[in-house]
Amino acid sequence: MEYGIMIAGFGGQGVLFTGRLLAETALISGYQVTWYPSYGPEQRGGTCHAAVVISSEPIGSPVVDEPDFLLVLNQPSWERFALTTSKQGYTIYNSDLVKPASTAKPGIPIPIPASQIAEKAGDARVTNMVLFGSFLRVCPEIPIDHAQSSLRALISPRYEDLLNIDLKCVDMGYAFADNLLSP
Amino acid sequence: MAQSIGEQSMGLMKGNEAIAEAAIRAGCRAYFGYPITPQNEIPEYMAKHLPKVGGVFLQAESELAAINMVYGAGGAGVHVMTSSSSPGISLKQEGLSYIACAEVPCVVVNMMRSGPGLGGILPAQGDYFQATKGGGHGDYHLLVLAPSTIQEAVDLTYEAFDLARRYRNPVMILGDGLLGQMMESVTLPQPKAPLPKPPWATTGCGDGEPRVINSLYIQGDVMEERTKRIFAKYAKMKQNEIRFENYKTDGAKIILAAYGSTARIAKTAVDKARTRGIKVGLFRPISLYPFPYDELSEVATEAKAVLTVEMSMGQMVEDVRLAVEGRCPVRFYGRSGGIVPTPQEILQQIQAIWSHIA
Repeated sequence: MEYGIMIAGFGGQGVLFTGRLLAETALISGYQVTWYPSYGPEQRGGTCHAAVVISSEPIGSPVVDEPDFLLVLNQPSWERFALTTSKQGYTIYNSDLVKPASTAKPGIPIPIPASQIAEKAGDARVTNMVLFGSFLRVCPEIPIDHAQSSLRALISPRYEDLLNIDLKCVDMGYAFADNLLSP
Repeated sequence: MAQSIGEQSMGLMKGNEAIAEAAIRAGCRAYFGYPITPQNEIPEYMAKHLPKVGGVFLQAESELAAINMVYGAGGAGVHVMTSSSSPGISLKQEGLSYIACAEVPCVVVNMMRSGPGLGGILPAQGDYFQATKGGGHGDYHLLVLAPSTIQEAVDLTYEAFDLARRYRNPVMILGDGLLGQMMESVTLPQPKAPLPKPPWATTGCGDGEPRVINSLYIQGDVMEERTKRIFAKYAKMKQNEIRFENYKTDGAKIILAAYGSTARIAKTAVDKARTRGIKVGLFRPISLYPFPYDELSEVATEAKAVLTVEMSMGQMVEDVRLAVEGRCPVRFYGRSGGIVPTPQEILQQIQAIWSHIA
């Protein structure tokens, strides 16, 4: 098993953190993992992305050119990456911010109203954790309880309030995708 | 005085941080540098952790100052390193030539970025010539090691200090922005104490004989003697330090030649091509100086074509041609400017060659 995952959005939306969380979670789930951030002239408000590869074998390329899972947090990232998703891949996007203009099929689209869900959970900014939760639903190789424990490990206890919102967003994102995919 | 540095000995680490930690665990006790992207996590990590083991971290006023501080600390017998990225490494070339002539051990990390000029901060491999053919003036070489994964970067850095001491020559770890910025799971080696100070170290002679470390030899015969002595070490390196990896090269009709980050991307391209029935393998030089000419020559004997892939306009390809000696065509595919080739791009190159030879 080897998956390439691309996470893309504005700087400040927690793109690199989401990738890091995914990488740590895959690691404790027993997989090999690479994490490669975009580190060009990115800044707050600009777009940035993180490529994560998880594999049961040693990993060659850390570069993801045809993602099996694409997490899209904003419209410019949709324009740039939506058509790169592999045919059987999933494109998980914040349907509150992203309006899919193209008629071309970006793998299997998973529209998630992440801004609304995050607002209900307590902080409208935490759309990254909602989409991450939805990702965990479509990528069963990564157990959600492992994601919860790596979140606890990565976030300082000083920010317990934020951690609780993060955990809630992951749960709600997972549940929304579950409803979406259930017959 | 083996000390445990950092609690975790295994886990996800950024390439730059892993190299810095490996250096400390290898006994590095002095670091001099000047900031430049994409290697800033190395000095950042050193600033935080080196003082904890009694080491010296110093951000110099320039690259020139930093490399000359390395010269001084190395001359005093301390395990010392510096790091930089392409334009900064260019500034260090005069010092490296002096250090090689004076036979002072040190470790230099170059996390290459795109060039020429100030270039850009994205990954590139355009410093191959500079690293392997001299870089500075005069007759000398660095021992150049090019890791492809973060684990390999850790292992080679850990060994580099011993190699530098053994050959009394600068050792370069040649990586790039991709290796420095990415994270991967690593297992760190046990911390070891620095080696005892060598008998030549200039530590204050007291009542003993003065020790001199110098790179100025005015008399021709003395300088020639010195140069021959240095080159005798390079002959030993060629015997003992050639490193390379063969990946699926048995029976391969196409041999890819690539090093560092590009090699791991090429590996994925090899796997993809193999599932399409294409007989292709990868030869990956790990020591770039000394270059594994004979070993590449051997795998190329049965091949119909060699494809060199680099993040440059074509530098290592010249050594590949020297190794292959015209026995089969040597093709080249390169990206520059900081653009990293994708597995798909390399696969297309492989398929184009295969359609001609299959």
